[in-house]
Amino acid sequence: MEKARMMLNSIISEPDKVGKTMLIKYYISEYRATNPIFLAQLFKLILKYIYENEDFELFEVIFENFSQELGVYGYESQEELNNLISYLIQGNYLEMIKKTLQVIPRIGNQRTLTLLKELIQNLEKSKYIDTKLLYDLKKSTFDLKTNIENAKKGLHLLNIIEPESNVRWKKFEEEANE
Amino acid sequence: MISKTDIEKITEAYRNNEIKKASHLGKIFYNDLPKSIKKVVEVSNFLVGNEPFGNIDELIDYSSHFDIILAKRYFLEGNFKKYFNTILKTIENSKDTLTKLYGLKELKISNQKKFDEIYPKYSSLEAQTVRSEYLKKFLSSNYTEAIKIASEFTSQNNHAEIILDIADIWYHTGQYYELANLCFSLQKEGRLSNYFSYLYAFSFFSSGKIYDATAILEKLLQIYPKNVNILYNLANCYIQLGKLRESEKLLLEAEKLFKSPSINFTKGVLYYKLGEYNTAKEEFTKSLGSNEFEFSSKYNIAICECNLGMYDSAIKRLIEIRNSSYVDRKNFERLDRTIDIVRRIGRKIPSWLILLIILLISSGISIGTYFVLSFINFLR
Repeated sequence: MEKARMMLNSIISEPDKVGKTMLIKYYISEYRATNPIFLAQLFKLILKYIYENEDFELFEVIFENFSQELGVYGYESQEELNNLISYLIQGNYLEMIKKTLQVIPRIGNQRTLTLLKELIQNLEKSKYIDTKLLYDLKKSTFDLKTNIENAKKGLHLLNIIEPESNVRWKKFEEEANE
Repeated sequence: MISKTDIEKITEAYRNNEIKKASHLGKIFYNDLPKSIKKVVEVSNFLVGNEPFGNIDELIDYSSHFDIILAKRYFLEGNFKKYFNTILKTIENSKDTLTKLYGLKELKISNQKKFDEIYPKYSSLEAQTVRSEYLKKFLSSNYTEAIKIASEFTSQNNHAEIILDIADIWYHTGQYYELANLCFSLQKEGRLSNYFSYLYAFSFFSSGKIYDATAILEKLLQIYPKNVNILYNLANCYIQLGKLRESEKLLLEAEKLFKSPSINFTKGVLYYKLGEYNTAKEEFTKSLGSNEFEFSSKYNIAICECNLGMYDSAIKRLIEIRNSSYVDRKNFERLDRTIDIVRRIGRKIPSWLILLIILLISSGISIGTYFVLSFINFLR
């Protein structure tokens, strides 16, 4: 965890979004093949840091630029994701909740499901009018529920690994020799 | 017959960011234009998304940054050899600092390794204009400053070339949100060229908006059927959307154009999902050469073997990779669990049969004991 903490400190020392993005990109390319556990720990610490320090810039960096990677390496971050969602719900940051919806089905758990259901109920009770957000919330809840059920069913089934490289845009020109 | 004024009109239109006008005027006089003006017209065509009026190969003379912009057509066509050749030759031949910096920028966004090899030779180039300044910052990886200067510059000079520079910097630094917003505004203004569409698809794909990325890539594939990036990334979209046979077609095409372990690995995933475990195993085996896929390919081969009933080989392989040094905790736990599952699946006698035999034997022993005891009692 010490390594991940050091990485987080370097990231938050970067003065802007571009610097933060480039540094996280560097860490991912450095550790994805050799030690992906560092990345899982890093994403866990980042999510924690966001809600503890109300760092909305880091939030934007992660959910705008690394949502795919968070889905892959977020397997240790379920509780942090739930705390972040709770924080966003309490602060009524609906636009930010919208940005998390894409990742939720991939790393959320039963508690995430409860949080989302409560949010939907409250929004419907308050006659909230952004139908797009309500639709996205319901879709994300449905996908998460399906994933949790599938995980339960498939607990004893075997499956192949599809690494993070398959969610990244491939640039073959980087491999071209001539 | 073309006059001097007509030529001036074209260059002026281009300079004033009236790119469509430059292209339109160029079309009228195209055959009579001198080579340097033809180049301006073709760059205009590229920027507004028109097809070229003439043969690009004949225009490229490795002398200005226009040659680099035109080389982007080779990139979209998937001809990386011609694309890199144009960039490298232009950097070398040109006397102009901006052109050299522009070429180096293009090289950096497309192949960092090649860039790292040649950049030291040009690192002492001095920036003389604002544009050269932000390009120089970009080359020295000072992205924050590069974007800051370029953004300030666009507020004074909203030329299509400068917009292209910013888009390229965002593409390289992975600012998907900003890039998507830029492409969206270009689309609204009817200025979304094919290159910007490509960047739009990239930003959608990278932020997980697969449906949107698919729609754009499908259109681009019609225009550039030999671009391996378009083929492969669209194939990946199809896998995520469950369109497996469509994906297979594209991957087979991509493989003909470019040999890469990534293509083999993705084919492995595809055939596994199709239940063709033998073919999947072959593809995962082909991807073993790459460090990136070393762990996942070995693991996936074992899973294919398990599905093919080759349990002993699968277990042997899994134990071998579990004991390798590069696995992390998650992989270690996963491997232990997988080995246990494969062992259970691979048992020659099923568990229920073993339980039944144990039950029968214990019942037999109980009954036998009862009779023996009864017999002894009976004798007494």
